[in-house]
Amino acid sequence: MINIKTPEEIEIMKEGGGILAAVLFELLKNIKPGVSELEIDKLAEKLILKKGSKPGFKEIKGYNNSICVSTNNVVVHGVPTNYKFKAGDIVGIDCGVFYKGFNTDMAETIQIKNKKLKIKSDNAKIQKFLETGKRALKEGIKQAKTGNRVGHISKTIQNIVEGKGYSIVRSLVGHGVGRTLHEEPEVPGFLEFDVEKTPVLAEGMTIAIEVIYNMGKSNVKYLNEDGWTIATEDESISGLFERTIAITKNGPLILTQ
Amino acid sequence: MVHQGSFEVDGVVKEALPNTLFRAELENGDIVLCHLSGKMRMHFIKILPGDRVKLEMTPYDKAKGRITYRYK
Repeated sequence: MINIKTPEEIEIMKEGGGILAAVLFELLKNIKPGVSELEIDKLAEKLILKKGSKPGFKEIKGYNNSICVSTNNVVVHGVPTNYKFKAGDIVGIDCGVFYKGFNTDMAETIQIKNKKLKIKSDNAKIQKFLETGKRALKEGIKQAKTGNRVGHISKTIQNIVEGKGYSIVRSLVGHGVGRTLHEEPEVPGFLEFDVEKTPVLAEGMTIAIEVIYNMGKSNVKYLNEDGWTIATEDESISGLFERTIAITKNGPLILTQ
Repeated sequence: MVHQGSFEVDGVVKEALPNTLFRAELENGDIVLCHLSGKMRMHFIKILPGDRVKLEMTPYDKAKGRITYRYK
């Protein structure tokens, strides 16, 4: 059952999304060499609580942190550890905020600036990788309008990412978002069958569109026994971009900004 | 936070339980409790033990499935 939100509920989610966006961009500014994943997690919790909301991920059964940190070959759900960031690391932060009964979900990946000139060409490759993901998300969001289907979003994301030679992870998907963090429908970054077989997008739907992709092959595996952290099977770099949007009669409205 | 996507598997129906619930065995030997999808109810498609069916499952509960197709 896809939950439709009223304009008032979307307004609440927009406020929560604004808080989340401010927190996330503040976190990204603090990701520097020598800083540990856990410090960013504690900073996230502090900022979220300070703005009058609650960490959305702590509402999930079995998860005890406010963010997921996905460094280099970690794809998603990286439980924050004592690992200290190094220059050149590709760090993805996924964060959620629970505000006035509603969740919002957002993620962004950056590369910690590497000032050594001899690795400049590697930096260009990584920048191209990240730019592709950002563009796929932007174009995917544009497809989220009434009259389209989830498949239109999925196809757009897949074409842009796989068109550049990267691979979309098949076993992880975007999702509806609202009173619970994960709701119907599933919003994959790839199209499996017909577009016509995917759900129709209607006014009042709120979904988290995610671009989850790897430089190498799409296969992923559990990295260790924490039951959460998922990494690429071939240890290639992975990128993650996500925004929560609402579908309105005037097109998509990004709530997390 | 990212959600793990649902996937399709094939199975063989082992027994029919009350309220259109079925127990099916997957190719890897797992037994799952399945219910009939709404589309199949609407078209009155009968499922009997021994039928090969397509199941939709979620990685969050590997003991349950939804029957979405009956093979010929």
